[in-house]
Amino acid sequence: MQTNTGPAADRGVPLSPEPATSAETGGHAAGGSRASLRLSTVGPWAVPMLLCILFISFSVLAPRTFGTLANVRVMIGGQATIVLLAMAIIVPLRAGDFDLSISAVMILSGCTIGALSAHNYPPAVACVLAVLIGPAVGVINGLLVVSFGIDSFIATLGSLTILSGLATLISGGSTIATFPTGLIDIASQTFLGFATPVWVGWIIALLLLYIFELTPCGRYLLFIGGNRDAARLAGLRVNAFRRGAFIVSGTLSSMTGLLFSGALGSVDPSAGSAYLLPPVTAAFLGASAIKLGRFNVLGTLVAIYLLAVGITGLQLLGIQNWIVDVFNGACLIGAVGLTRLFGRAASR
Amino acid sequence: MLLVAVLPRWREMSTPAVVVKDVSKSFAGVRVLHSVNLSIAPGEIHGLVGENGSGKSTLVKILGGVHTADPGSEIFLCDEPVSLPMRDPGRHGLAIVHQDLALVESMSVADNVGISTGFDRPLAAHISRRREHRIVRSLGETLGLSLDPARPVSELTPAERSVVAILRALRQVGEGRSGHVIVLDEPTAALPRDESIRLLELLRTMARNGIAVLYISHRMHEVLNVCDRISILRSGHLVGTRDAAGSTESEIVRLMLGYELGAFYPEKHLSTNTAIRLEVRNLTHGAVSHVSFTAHKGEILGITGLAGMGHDDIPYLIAGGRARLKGEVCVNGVMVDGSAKSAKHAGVELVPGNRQRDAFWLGGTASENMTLPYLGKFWQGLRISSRRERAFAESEMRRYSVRPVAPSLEITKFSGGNQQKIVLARTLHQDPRVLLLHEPTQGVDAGAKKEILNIVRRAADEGAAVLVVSSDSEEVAELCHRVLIMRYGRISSSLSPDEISEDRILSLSQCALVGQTRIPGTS
Repeated sequence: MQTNTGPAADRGVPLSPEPATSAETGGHAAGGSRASLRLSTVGPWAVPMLLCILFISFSVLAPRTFGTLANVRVMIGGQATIVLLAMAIIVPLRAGDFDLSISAVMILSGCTIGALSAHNYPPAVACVLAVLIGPAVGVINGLLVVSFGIDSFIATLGSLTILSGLATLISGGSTIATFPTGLIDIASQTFLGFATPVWVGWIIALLLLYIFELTPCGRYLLFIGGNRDAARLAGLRVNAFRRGAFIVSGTLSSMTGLLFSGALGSVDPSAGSAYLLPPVTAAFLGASAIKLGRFNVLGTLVAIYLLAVGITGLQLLGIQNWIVDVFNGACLIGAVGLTRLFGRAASR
Repeated sequence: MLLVAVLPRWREMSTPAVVVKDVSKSFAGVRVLHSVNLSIAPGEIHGLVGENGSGKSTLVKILGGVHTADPGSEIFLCDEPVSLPMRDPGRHGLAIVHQDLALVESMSVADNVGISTGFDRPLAAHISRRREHRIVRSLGETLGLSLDPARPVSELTPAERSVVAILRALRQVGEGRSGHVIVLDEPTAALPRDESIRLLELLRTMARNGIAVLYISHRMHEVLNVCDRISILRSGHLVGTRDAAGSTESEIVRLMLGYELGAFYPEKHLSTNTAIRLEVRNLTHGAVSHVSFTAHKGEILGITGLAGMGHDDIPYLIAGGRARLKGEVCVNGVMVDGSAKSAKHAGVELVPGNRQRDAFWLGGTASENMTLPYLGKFWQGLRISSRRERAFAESEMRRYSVRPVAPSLEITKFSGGNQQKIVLARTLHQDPRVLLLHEPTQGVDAGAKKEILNIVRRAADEGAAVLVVSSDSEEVAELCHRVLIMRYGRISSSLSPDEISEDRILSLSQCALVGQTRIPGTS
């Protein structure tokens, strides 16, 4: 599925647009030594390789607990929500905007279904209304960021906070567990040992992979994220794409809320914050894998599973819980740092 | 006054301020400098010219201690050998002003001048504002200008910024003593011509004070005007050092390229078709007020003026995307409403002056940047065919002689001239009815400039109306069929084909200055 455009992928472009340092590069184009060339070809595959190495080492160290099919299923199943939210956030990220409201949209849509069901609304109506929250929030985020020009980080941080408040209002501050049985049944359906949210996450990932890598739309988003003014002057409908990206991320988040509440059977309105940092981490870690410097689907998936494998492995080896956070942070800094190093070696 | 009296003595003095002897440099086995020899006397302005990639920047970086020269290379400053790589060139009395100036926008002039020498203070010591301001003022006085040391750099004009960078270099080498060396890497590349002339006068003053200046530029007439001697680099070899007084532009360019450039500017074939392509009426926005003009099919219309006279905004107002404009823009009878979409629809295409900011996604490859506006062309079997895209990019790069022909190479790896050819290829592929060019050859070497001008000429021959907005009056005079000169947002004069000459354009532009003092860095 992945079509690599050859050497195009071998680069270490920093995530933030950085002004070019020298106008006169002609003389040094041939300057990369053989060793650094090798480094730059390794770069895109460093995170995937790390995933393999960790998986194999933990399987050897804990063959009876870690290296089992059941454990693999648990690990993948446990990441289903994170995969969905990460797919939601990389769409606006690719177009150069943060959408931090994803986790709050998810929790709010979950609470909405619960609250509506508790008031005896038909399940279908509750679900449709809950899913509609996403596009509505997307439109508002788009308005704030694109039309009013508020920095996306700030604007969506604001909507994150507001939506969390609304979730507490709707749920009355306590965990909601009044979900329609139909929803719970659908969400807990399994196929080949994986539950519905896992499959939905993968299908959406596949769809985004196609859009990002093989259609003009994916390229337009990259260009808009890379240089908005140039994209506008080249004739792209920059504002429409940015608004669209927020709507897509909102919709994906509220759909995630549907599956999330169905799979868990209960939603804690204050759980949102636990679902914000992992997708953001995965998105940035993913931009240092496979397609360096670009938010991409495969890299993000690899990043999510890398973190899951690392944490599960450490826990099964009996290491204390605080290691989890340290591991998460170290992975992010380490991977992004290494990518910069590869990039610098390649351009020297 | 004393300095003027001393002037002749420096010229006679036999001890050169800097000698570069047999300097070579290789990157990964590729030799980019071959035994280069140079010597610059105190008080001399020495030009260094060469095409992009000829090794000028490498030499500057060796002088600045960024690169280590190959064994066998020697550099002498005031007859004393310097150990290579050169550490702390400022202490040896050598400073470099880089093209991007490296100024901190939010800090004051005095801070920017003082920072590179650490304000001559221990790290935690108190910085005396009064002392810093006095130093900046006295440095300025040696050059006969006064610049408020307290002003933040963000408020300065491009020319004043260059002055700040030069003052910093003077501070680095220490005050007043002769035998110091200042290297300027394309200090005027971002300046309009009138401001760069003033900057060059500054160089002369520096030289009179006994400083040796190594001056690097693409602008051949400036080099010929300001320099005493000129050294020419070609593919890492020093092909000659000439006295500027006895040299002509074509001679230097021939040495640079290694072949005859021929008539530099393409022939002007005047189109006889006078069907109006572009009609602009009462265009008003910001610095532009009530500008009206028309352009014919096949015509190259030049618009020029001094910096800040409003001509720089015109292409962007027509191409749209900025604030909605007052007035009317009409292409082939179709109204354009000031949005980028309607301009595109009418067949208006823009080649912006600032390529890196307005044309490229710097994280992308050449091909990704080239095919962006018509990606749909490569759609095949529900996907973008990367094979077709690559084949297209390769054939376009050959057609516009972009070097190297490497579609998957990052756009930042191409030289300025080749980047510009890529923008032109992308723009012309859309068959523009109206082609808007803003500073089309800024920061481009002579060979590429000729190729780019030929491309523009070809586009006009194929029927586009071409608008060239440029502050390079020589280029405007040689390329355009008709020239409009702007003054304070209005068109002050219009030159018909037989009236056009560079001198005329210059004098008509300078008219705007009568009764005005717009001298950068002075008051």
